[in-house]
Amino acid sequence: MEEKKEVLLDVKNLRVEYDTDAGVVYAVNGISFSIGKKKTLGLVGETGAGKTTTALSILNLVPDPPGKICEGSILLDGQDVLRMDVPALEKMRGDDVAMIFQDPMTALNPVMTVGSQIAESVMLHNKVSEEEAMQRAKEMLKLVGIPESRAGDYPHQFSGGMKQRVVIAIALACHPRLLIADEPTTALDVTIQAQVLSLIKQLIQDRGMSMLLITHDLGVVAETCDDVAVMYSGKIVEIGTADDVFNHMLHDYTVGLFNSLPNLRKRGEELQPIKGMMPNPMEKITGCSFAPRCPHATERCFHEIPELIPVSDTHRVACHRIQEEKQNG
Amino acid sequence: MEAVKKQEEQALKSRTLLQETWRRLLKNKGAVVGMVFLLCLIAAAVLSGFIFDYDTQVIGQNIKERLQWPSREHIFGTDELGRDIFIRLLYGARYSLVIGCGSVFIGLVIGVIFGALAGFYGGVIDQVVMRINDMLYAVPNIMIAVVVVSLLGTSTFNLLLALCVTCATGFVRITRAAVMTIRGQEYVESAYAMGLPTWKVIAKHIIPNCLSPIIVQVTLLIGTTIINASSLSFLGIGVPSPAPEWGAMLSSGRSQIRNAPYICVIPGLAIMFTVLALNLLGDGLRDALDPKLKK
Repeated sequence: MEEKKEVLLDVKNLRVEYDTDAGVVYAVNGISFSIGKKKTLGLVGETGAGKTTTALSILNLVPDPPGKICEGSILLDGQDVLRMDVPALEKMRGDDVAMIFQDPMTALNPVMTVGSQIAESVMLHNKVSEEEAMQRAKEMLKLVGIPESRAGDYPHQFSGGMKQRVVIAIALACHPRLLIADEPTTALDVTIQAQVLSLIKQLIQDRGMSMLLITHDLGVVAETCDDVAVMYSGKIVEIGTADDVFNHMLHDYTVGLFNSLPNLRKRGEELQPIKGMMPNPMEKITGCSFAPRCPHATERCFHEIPELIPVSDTHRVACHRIQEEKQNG
Repeated sequence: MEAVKKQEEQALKSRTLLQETWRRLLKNKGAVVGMVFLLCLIAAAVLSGFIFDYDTQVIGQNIKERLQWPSREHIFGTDELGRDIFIRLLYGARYSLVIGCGSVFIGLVIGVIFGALAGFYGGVIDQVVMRINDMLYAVPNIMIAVVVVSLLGTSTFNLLLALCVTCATGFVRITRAAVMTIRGQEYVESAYAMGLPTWKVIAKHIIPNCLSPIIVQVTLLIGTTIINASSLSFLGIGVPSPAPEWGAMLSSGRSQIRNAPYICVIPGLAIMFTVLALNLLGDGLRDALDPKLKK
């Protein structure tokens, strides 16, 4: 992860807060990660861990107010997204970085035909006529497996899986270099999930794109991602290649996540959920945010914030216990 | 299974959103009656200018034939100056329609712009726009119109301006409420993520989705505005005489109400049926545009 070669997106020490009436919500607390060219990073974590906020930050789309990006930098090919002016941002969005939203049911404008919604994106970033844009839109539809003839149909005439295909077509219409997929399969049923996922995977490969895949479904990550970052309470607790995180997991939260999954080899056994709840994001945490739920927590964990420390070339973990074990050999 | 699904898809495919609304509107008998009546009225307003001569038949006085009850010759009778009420009524349709549609249209443009700004940006803009709107809303609309007309003088155009204030306040409220719900939808967010500038997001993605309540409001407000325009003409500060505005016709018949009540009753009925037709159409449209009824 540390190598400088071929890095497309480099997020450094990102901190995002929401200033609400009830108080300040610390959504993202200083996370850093990078995505190499043609690589896919999976961002895993439970609801409320700050995954979507991270994604919106990359497009500089955190709703302001109440949201505020307080610190950090997001370098896209060397340019800081957080310091771009509005025209540059509008050029970047859709053209360099595209986003697939979670719920295809609401991500399409109900009063525009799907063809014109794809064409809109094409026309925005390319100097083409309306007919050409529509032609491109039809090609995109064909690419995601929808007959061209349906370009004139409205979103309510499509099923959920097909809507998500349309959303993918819109996102990919301008050949972005980075695709942010925010839980692209959560709202779909399982058979459609697999279809949509393999479609995304294939298109990404064909076009040599990078992807940030946000999900809480570990199966999806295993199938799709090169690298995995596990997020908890606005921080990355473990990051590494898919092999590192799936087969050599170290952080107790990651272990807990896997234990809470049903396992075919242990049929009939009860699942082991992680005890407790994620901490209230409105409290500033002085120690490890996972400490109250961690079976191995010590006094130190409650007072000192653990840093991400490397355990191998690619694998990093934020845990005092692991760090101590490593130091002691 | 596959065949059934295909069939369903075909059935769905053959209808666009607009056709769907139209189909449901036609199922509503009241709306159809209203629509037919309004079409006749529009036809009357347009054609009467070609058929009748304004100077001799519409405003030309004919004392010999004054105050005749409805007969074969004059199917709605004649007024106190011997003018045929039927011809005047048909000709008068254009005043009601022009004033009704015109002031609603001006009010619509102003109201939608300010309502969208208030709903989209919120905060200070919202407060300023809505408080001014509340102020205008609190004053009886006839009073605003009386003030405007007495300041600018009586003419059809001034009447139109006077009435559009009332319409605009209604549109500001409705548009603001609709924009506030649409603003948070995911497709708006995704339009931003696509790189659209803010004004395009508002114009292409937010306002088109607010249209159904606005369309309904248009039909209902045209009715209200026609009544207001007639009220002002009745008070003598609307369309200046001798133009055959319905409210003015009704007003001029007051002195003869004992021996020739039809002079008042007929324009009154014309106003009533027009407003009723507009309300029926408005109700029908509201039902037809309601997505909850979509099957």
